[in-house]
Amino acid sequence: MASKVIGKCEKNFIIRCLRDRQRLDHRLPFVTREIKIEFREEYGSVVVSLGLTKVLAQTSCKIVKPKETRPNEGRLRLQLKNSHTMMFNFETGRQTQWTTLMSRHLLQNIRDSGCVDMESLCILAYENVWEISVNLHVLDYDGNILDCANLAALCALAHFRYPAVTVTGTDVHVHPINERNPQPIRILHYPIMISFALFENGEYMLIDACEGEEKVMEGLFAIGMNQHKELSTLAMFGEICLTRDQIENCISLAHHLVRDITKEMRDTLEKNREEQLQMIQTINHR
Amino acid sequence: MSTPMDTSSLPIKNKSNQLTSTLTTDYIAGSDLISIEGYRQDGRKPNELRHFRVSFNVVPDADGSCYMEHGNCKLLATIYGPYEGESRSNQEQAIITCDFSMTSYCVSERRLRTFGDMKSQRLQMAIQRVFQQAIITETYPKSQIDIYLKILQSDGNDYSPCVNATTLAFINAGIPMKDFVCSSTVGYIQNKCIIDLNQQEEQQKSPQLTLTIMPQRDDIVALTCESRVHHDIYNEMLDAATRANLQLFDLMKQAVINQLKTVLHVL
Repeated sequence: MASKVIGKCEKNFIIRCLRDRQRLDHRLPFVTREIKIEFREEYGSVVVSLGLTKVLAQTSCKIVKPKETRPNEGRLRLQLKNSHTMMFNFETGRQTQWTTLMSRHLLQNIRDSGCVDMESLCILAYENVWEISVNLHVLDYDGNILDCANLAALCALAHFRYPAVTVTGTDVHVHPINERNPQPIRILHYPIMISFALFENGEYMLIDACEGEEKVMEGLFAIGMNQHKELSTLAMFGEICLTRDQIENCISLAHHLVRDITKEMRDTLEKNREEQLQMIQTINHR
Repeated sequence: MSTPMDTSSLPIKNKSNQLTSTLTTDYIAGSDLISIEGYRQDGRKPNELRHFRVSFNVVPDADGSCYMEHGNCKLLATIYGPYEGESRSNQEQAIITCDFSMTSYCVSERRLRTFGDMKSQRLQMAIQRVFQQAIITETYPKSQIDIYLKILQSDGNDYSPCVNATTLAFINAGIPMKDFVCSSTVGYIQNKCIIDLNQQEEQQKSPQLTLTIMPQRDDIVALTCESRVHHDIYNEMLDAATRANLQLFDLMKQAVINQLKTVLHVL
């Protein structure tokens, strides 16, 4: 997808390994790499690693006028940025076609599926709403940006807190941190994205392709799903067709993985929350 | 052909998750999207397509062209090619490029930015991807085929009518294709699958699915789902979308046969 420059012998080797159901890092075909979620000090700041792929997510908020077509809903912005540290021939700065496509699918998955309760972000209808912006930076690239960035964005949104607001009549007063605790965002469900790399016209499928496999793959099929088996997004990239049964298989496989990933994400969030509470208690006891 | 799933025999379970269901916008203020008698706002039944009309050879200068009216969506698809590609072109296959634009009068509010914006770029990439697979590109090495799409009147989703019109334009141009490419949308409102959404139905926050298939080869070329939908409902919607696409395929095939008849003066 991003860069197809690969040697012919490397390409042939990877395809031959696929036929024997082997992968470069000895994984099974339908297993993701190790997921590590590190929450940082600031609310809404998290680094998620999927194997060697690392994505940093930073969240911020500000008060804006709402969209005219949706006057009582908040706004959500998501931006994915590349950097030269990823790959030597990635373009920095302005968005490339590929990055735009990824960005768009991430936004679709998180915003259009109703993951964040937009109405709770409304302060004063038609006048003031919260706009949450999530900026994703790819720190290290080893294939499968979509899944990693999606997980990072979800963790960041789950971790983020925005200031409390009181509205008296038409007067809006934002409480600073020393007056009132900031509130977490209401998240209704966690749509995790699982990407299937497709080879040989859909005959071979791999979950979570690493960089080498991504260069060889013919197409990508991404499924966004939450743990209740509700699909939030379906997307196909590359020049590949699938039959209905193949898509069914993908969905069942993805469902198992999504349950595990959601559980892990929730556990990490809980642990982080407990650590923060402990920290606050030790500060209070001093 | 894969065997269609018979969902009518399964017991109907309460599929929506009560705690987090956001199916509160099934009804627009004052009127239902599907009335009690089962008719939609524009008088169609849930499994009826919009009015479909096609004209070929509308742009005589082009190699293939098609003017299509699909409900209130009127658009023009033109094909130029295959012609000699640029020096960097692929040596083994033809390159397909797509150019999508709207007129400033296509929607009710006069549109200032008619090309080059996000939506146009996305649509261009999507259509280019779909037809790169559907055309037998090996027959035209080192050449280029251009698709020009112009929306004269827009009614919500532009992607599906564009795909259908491009297929017919390619047939008019005589470029060999693996199969027709049909596309349609399906939504799920008030516990019923409705096919071929117009703008009003699309603006609701209900689950929607856009399916692009090659009907005779039974291959799904593109599948996009834009909102949270449970797996069982998704299967129902996929069935409805496949039926809609097969209906469209019949209409398109009939249009091509009629065109051939008039051209060859065979009555």
